[in-house]
Amino acid sequence: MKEVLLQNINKFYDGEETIKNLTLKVEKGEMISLLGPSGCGKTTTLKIIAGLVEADQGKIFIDGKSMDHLPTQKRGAVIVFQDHRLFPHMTVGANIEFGLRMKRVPKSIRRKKVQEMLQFVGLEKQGGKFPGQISGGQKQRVAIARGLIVDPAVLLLDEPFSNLDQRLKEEMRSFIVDIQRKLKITTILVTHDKEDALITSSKIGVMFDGELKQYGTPEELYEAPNSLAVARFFGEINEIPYKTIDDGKIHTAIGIYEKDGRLAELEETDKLLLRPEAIFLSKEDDGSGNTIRSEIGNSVLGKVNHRTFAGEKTYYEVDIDSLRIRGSVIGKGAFQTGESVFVHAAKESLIVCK
Amino acid sequence: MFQLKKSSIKPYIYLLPVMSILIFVFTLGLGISILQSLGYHPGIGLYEVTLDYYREVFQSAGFFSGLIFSLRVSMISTVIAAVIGVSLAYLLVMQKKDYRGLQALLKLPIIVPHLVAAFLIFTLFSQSGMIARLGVLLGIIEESRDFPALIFDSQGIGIILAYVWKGTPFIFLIVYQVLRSIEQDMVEAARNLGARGSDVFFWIFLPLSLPSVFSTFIILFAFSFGSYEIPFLLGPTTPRALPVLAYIEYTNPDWTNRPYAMAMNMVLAGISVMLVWLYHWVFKRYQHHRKGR
Amino acid sequence: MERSLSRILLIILSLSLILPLLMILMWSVTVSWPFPEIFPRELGLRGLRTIFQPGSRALDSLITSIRISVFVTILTLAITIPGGKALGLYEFPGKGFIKIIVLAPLIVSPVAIGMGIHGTFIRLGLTNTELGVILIHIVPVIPYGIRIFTNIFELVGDQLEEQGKVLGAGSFQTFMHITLPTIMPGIISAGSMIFIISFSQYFLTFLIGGGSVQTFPLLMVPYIQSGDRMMAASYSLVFIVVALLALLGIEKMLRLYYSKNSGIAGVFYTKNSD
Repeated sequence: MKEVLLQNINKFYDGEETIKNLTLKVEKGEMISLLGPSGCGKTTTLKIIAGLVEADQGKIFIDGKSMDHLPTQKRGAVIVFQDHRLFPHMTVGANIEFGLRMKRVPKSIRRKKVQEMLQFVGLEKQGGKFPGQISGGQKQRVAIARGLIVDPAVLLLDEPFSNLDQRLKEEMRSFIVDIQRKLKITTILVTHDKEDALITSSKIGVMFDGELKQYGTPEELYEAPNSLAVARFFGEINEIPYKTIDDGKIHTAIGIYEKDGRLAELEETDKLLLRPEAIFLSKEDDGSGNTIRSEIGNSVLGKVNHRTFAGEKTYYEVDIDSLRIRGSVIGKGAFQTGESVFVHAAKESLIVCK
Repeated sequence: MFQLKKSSIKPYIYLLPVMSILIFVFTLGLGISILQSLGYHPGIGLYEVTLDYYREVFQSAGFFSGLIFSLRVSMISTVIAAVIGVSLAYLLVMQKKDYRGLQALLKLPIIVPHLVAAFLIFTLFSQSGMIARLGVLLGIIEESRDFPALIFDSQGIGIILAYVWKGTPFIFLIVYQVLRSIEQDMVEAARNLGARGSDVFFWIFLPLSLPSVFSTFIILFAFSFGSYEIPFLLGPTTPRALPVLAYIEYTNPDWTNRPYAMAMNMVLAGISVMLVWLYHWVFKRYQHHRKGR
Repeated sequence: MERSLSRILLIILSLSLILPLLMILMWSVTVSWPFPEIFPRELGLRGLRTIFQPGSRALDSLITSIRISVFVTILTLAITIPGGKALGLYEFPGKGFIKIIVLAPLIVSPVAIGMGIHGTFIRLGLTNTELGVILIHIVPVIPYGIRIFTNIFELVGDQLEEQGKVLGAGSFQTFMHITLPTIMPGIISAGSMIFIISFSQYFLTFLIGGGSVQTFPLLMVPYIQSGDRMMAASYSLVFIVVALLALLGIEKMLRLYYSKNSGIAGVFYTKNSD
């Protein structure tokens, strides 16, 4: 259980800045994610923490101790690599034992610890096999066990779920969350998959182009992204045009809202965003085939342009004058292409973003 | 990795040309050698199959000292070549630059024939060679006969030097390629888990390159054990290396001596084959985990 | 510190392997170099001139040597490419056994094979002929060709060939335009190796050629044996230079041809150039 602090890290590759002024604090025993598209510098960040890559500027502290010029083997920051990197010529047991051997731990203790670790990751029976003889999920477990056995100050997981199929991925996710909770080990996970980050981590840092755009809890990032880019990364989003008129109310394309609560601080340069699942569609018939206003107030009339059935959800593209928004409803959805529907959104679901 | 194709006839057709030559020259040659070594040689009127020739060969002092000489010279030269070659490969992999020029120069001895290697060793190490001259220059020796006779000596030092000079670059090149193909990734992983420089060598580089070191070792050993040129040019009159001995026996005007030559050849071939078998036996366990990690 | 030490060691070891070659260079242009002098007393080109005299035996034998090695190279490539393909791409009964047989010449002494087949070659009239020498030279190089082509076919598979056939190429076209360019790196390395080994061959040439087929190494040996350093060095120098030129030539020619004629080969080289 150690805390990790990065201060103003900069890294250049071939004159190009791959990490820009990164500052990040991970509390003791916490599990956080660095989330971003590939090539955004998140893996480089891990390597910098581990000491495999040297930062050009900035400082790293693990448990308050400066890591300047400390070689990787003395940092206690262990990476579990995306491609596992198990040693092909050693058995599973020997792979796990490796870190202890390097620390010159006596054999009897090594034996015992390896046994415990094999048990801990559920591979009691695979200890004598070679990496070429076990499955992808098992290799992943070996890689994690190999890292854990040296009792690292911080565990760095580089895209641990990317080579796995959906079922294994879910299994592995809960396995890692489980281990992390049991051992309370400070963990940094790097991933390009928002779901991985949301499910596993108490905090998420979103990175684009080497820059940490936002760092916060999953809820904060989902509900209050500080930029359109961050909002987009967590899923599809509609940008809602609006005007503030003298009456103090906010006139949006999907209704009129009082300037209070969420919208109290809204400035003219801000963007107003809305997630598809926050859009309500409704329709009521006056009996003669004309759509009439429903019970829900504050709505506008739109026309279904396209319907896409996606199993548990159905997506609608709705045109409101010249604006096209995307909404989703659970289930099959009751509206057909070409139908008129009322569009409504609760004020609490609107996202204000700089 | 793709699936190997199963086809009933195609692979045999593809293999037909190479196998015909091998069967005609190699297998037939080997077969005739075996038959003649057993005393079956209708061409000179020998029909009786017997192990007598082997027995006699083994009892002759010349053969025995020749066998020991050949084994010793091949073993020592191959071990030295392996140690230097592997060290060179490891030293080069450890550098930041890859020294292309040096690599290209190190390939030179590979294209130099053994005959020329023998000549080189002669100009360097004979009693009037370059080393002796340097010895005089440095005042270590006074005249040419003070310099130890390393060529044509009964210890086979000249032969060993020539094989080392030819073999080292060969081992270096193969091991260097293997070491370079060990991804830097693997080294990173090891270092991240606490491995120091020497740990990386002993735990990663050495075990991963061992199979190719060993197979190259066997090829080199078999080559030096079975070849004629260098001991013929640099070797002593007694003991004679086995291939030289066999050839002398073969060219004996008395044709009934042929079976002795063939028996010697079979011992030559047999020892090499045993080594290959040893290799497979030792490295059988290496097979499965080379498939992937 | 550790790194600079290892660099020094690397360079010392390498130089001790490379520097001896200078002896060839020096002796080949030396007329007189008595003991214990470190540098030649009198330089001259007598040795090299003897070799390059128009109509000299040396020149004839050089041409014979090159002719034999070129034939050996072409023939060996022609038989080991399909052989390697069979072993690299197919699974069939007897594969293990065949693999042992094709690699065996690497291990079994050529002295034994040569003496064994000698009698048969005499009966077939192959001794004292270039054909016989070519045939016997092919045997020790087969393992190299087979090994290289088996590996390369294992690596590239035959998806490209199948694609070619799907697109309507006949077997011959497929071979020329797809197979050949993709295995070109293998052809270059196997070809060079085969050429060099055949070019260096002494014992088998002398046994089967029986003195009638005079190759360059055959002429060189008496000088080495008699300790005529100037002549031996001149022969050695010519040998090494010709071998180097041949290697460069093989590589340049094939690369040039295939970078002009095929996109695939071009891609292959940019990938494998280091």
